[in-house]
Amino acid sequence: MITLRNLRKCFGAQVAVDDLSFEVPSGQIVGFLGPNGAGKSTTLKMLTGILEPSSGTAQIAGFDVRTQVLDVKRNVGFVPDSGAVFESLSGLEYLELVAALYGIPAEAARSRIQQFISFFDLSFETLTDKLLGAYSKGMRRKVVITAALLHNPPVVFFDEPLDGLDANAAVGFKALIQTLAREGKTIVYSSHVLDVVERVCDRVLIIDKGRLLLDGEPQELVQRHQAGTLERLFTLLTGGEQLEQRAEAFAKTFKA
Amino acid sequence: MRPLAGSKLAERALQRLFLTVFLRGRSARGIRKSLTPSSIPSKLALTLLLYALVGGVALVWRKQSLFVLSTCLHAMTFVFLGTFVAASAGELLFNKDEADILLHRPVAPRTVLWAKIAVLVRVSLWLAGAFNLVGMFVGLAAPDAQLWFPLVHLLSTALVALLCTAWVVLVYELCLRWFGRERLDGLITFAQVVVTLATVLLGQAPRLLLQHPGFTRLAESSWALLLPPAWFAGLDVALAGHGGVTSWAVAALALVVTLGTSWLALGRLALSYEHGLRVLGESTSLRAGGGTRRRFIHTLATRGPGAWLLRDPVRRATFLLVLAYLARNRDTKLRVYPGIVPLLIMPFLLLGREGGSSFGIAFAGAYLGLVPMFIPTAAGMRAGSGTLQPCTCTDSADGGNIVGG
Repeated sequence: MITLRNLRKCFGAQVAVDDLSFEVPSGQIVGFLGPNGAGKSTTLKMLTGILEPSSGTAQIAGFDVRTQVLDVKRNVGFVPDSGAVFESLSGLEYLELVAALYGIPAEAARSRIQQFISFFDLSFETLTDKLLGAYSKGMRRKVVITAALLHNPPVVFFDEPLDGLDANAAVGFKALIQTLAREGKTIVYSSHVLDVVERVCDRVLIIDKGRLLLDGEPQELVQRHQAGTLERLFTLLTGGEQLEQRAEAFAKTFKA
Repeated sequence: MRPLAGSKLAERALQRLFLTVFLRGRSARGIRKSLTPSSIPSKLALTLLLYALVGGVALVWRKQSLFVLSTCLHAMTFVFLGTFVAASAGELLFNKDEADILLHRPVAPRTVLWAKIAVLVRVSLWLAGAFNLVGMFVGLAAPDAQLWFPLVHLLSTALVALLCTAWVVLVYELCLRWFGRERLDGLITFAQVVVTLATVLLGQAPRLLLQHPGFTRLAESSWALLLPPAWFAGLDVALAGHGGVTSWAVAALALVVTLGTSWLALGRLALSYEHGLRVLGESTSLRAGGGTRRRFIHTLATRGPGAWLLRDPVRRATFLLVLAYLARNRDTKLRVYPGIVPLLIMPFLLLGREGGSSFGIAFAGAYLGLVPMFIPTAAGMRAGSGTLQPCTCTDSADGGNIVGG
């Protein structure tokens, strides 16, 4: 469903994504991990047609991200980490706009929006009365997630989707993506909350400095590297050693 | 799923979106939607009424020929619309948040561009229509006017609105094409300031023309035909007056220039816009300003009167924050600088106009006195700054101190 071949993205002299290659079949939930600035968001933006790759190729649902970018966009849903929305629209206006951009007729869109409202425990009044600028971060995130799934895409990219969600919504969301994967959707899940990734994802990809470091099933990778947990494995791979000692040294600066 | 690129549904949705966003304001934090429908149409109606009242100036030229009247009306429409479009276009055309909202949707950037331009043209048309309302009927009193002059003038005004929008969009696209992505953010602000400045300066041309004793002869002289307002006045005279060959020639020029500019801006160079939108989505590694500038600001805040005025560390930090926003934040720059430019240039224009007379100097000084009115803008920046909002120093009781800083 997703195929990358030597994908590369440069911003001037800075290489953000370097020679990235992997494949993701249908129905798989893939955790896409890496430290800050590793190139995760840049990769997701290339796969969703927001950014153009500097070199290499990528295909989503059989469509090339360079030459068939509109077809790619029709087949993906994307929850960006920024959670950006038009703040001067109400939630309902925003979702109806998104539905119109995907060609979903108004009645069908309204019915799908109703389903998401009940799933996320949103009230219809909130969705119609308040502008998005007045929403809490979690509420806004729910709208953005709804907007990403409204057109029923076969591939969905989530970039820090749990950011701002309360505990109930987060649990519901995890159940939702597992259900979506069972129905054959391909999910790419980028997050810094590693225990959630460990529990939810069938497979993890760890990148650093734009390069792929590791690819495999979470449990198998943890066992192979004798790391105990995915979090420990992540810190070993991405240079996060001696964090406890560094934290102690940092705390001492306040005492001095 | 239906193929959507350029579909009517998407186009209509985008136009509705940009019009709503434009009228409500891009950021409407804390506003309930139930409050907006009553306030926005009334604000819009008030704005249109004000434009219509200002357009009453057409009564001054009621005894002039149709060509002179039309030239004056179109010249003033150019100034008003040019300023409006220049002030609005930057934020509407290039919004950074849009990359994460719209660029992964199945809509071609050209469709997005057209929707934005359609909104700009539509609002320009409302304003131009309101401004020319009185003039349309005053024109009927001109000795050489036909009964259908109001309709013809409406058409030529629509073309002026289209040309104004196309010119501004063209300037942005050319800047993108010539100067590239590295300097895009600064460039958009620079282009907007230049367009505003040019509009204000060119806006003096009709005033100088009107003040000239032989104005009527000037407006009908051959060199006046080099000015765009005269081209559109030519269209009015050709279709609703007793137009001769010259009128038809300049009318044709108006049409060719409008269509040519629109073709360039909306068609030929639309790819530059696509590139610009993508570039805005790229995470550039922003660097702090050059060492010299930083040292100068540091000296300003820590030496001499600055050190005394900013002796409170919160004030000093706020001062530096506001300067950083003014120097580096694109949205702040787009809102502040194009608005400041006319205000800063006006004193010099007034001095030039009054020939250094005491009245001119006093008036220019009074105008400079308006500059502190921009302090609320700085206060607005503070309110929008997530950095300072959690501080106890940003409560309303101390707000004055911060703004003072």
